[in-house]
Amino acid sequence: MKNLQHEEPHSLLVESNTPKAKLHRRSFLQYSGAGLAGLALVAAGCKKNNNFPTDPNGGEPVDESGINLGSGETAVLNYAYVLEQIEAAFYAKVVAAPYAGITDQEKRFFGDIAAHEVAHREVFKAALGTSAVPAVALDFSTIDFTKKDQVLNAAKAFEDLGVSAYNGAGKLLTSADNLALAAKVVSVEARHAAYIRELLSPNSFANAEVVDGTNAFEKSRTPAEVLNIIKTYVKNPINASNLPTS
Amino acid sequence: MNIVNILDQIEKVDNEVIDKLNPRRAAMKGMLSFGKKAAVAAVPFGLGSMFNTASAQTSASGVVDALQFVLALKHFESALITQGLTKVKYSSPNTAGDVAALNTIKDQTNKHIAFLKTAISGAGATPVAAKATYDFTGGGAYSNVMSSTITFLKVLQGVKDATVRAIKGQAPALVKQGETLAAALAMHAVDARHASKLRIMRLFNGYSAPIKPWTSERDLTENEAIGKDVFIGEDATTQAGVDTSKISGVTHAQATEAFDEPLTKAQIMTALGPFKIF
Repeated sequence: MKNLQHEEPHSLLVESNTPKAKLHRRSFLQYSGAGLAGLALVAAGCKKNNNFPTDPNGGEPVDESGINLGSGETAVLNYAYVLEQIEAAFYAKVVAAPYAGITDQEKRFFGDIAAHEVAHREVFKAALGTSAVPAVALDFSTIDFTKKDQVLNAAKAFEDLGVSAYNGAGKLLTSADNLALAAKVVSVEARHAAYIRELLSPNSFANAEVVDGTNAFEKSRTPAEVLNIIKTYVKNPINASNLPTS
Repeated sequence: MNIVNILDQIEKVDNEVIDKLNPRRAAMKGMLSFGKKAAVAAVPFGLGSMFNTASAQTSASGVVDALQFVLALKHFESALITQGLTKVKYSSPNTAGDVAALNTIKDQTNKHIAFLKTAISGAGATPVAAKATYDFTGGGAYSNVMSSTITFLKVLQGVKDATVRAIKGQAPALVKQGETLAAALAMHAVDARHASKLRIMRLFNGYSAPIKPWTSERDLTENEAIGKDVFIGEDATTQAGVDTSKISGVTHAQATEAFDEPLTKAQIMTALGPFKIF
């Protein structure tokens, strides 16, 4: 969780303009996508991974081999699918073992949120069909699920991240149907984000961390920015080199 | 006339044109082989349909219409909050905090208005103006909207939820519209945060025990909502061909909540018609 909190959200956007961030991205791409051998390995990993069932409870890592999001529209949907896998697995853990002092209302609402994320994950998976990437291997060991503040801060970071990711990816979609689907999801994530923020700090539902001061626009992130953040939790190297960039 | 030069010129205006040409490569090939004279005559006409503002999904006027529609809604929202903050003697278990939140929502809504006006002017159109008067009572259904904190929050929440649905309904028309789409989505998410906060205010203040921070099928059938037309379709469970209520661990109510549904312009005009927004 440290990573998310430290980079969230202002510094991250600034950082992406620095040479350091560029270097990271370059080395990331080199690591995950370079060379025919690498691609072959990634492809092999995908195939092998298809035999591993999605763990709805976000259990232990299934397979940590590389994952290629693919290209074009498929890549954008797979990107969303990976994000939803993370969220669904995170909330499954919250619901399975709630933090100390959780209220009945919080328990109900976290149950709702967990179910919403499962529905998102399953709809993207179905929409992708055989193009869906495998279940990703997740590691939430940086989060102490017994502590309310850690869970709420992680949930806030994941929800804000999800909203910014969908908003950044909208213009990459070429299908009106897929855009409509993404738009149906992103506002629900924004509602989750507002609720969790209100639990943490009253009236932080749309503060300067997530809404810019000029046009009151929700901040957005590029896939490269988002993938850099989620690598704390996703053990598989993700090859996003064929994701559309504009 | 040189077709390469034409493409270069167009590319300066619309840097996605080459991508758009790809599916038409075969057509172009056929056109070029047909004869130089015919090609030159046909190209400017054919290329016209490949500009951003004139692609198959939408037209320049379609984009402006979408922005004007959202602007009209936001003018109403702004007037509703501004009037409410002045007239309603706002009183809740958390008055100071609630008023601060309402001011945040008002300020951010006004920034959206300023952006939309600039964008519409930039497109060469005249931004739709705020109306001098609205019917905040919704044709009398909420006659105490300007005197009751409870009614005021109920109406404002419904209107915000409707705005989220309205922008969502316009999104597909903005597909591939780059920054215009990004701006619409950026406002859409902020409106969803506002709607959620208003729902949470109603919940935490004890004005509606069963309300949730997200839309749910219950919004359609229970009295706390401002009217079933605003929430029509929010009981849907089929998404991209998947019945989400059949997914293991997802209840029917949760299935309806997981995806916010869009409304068309016509549906919004029906749902919010009594407020005399348009």
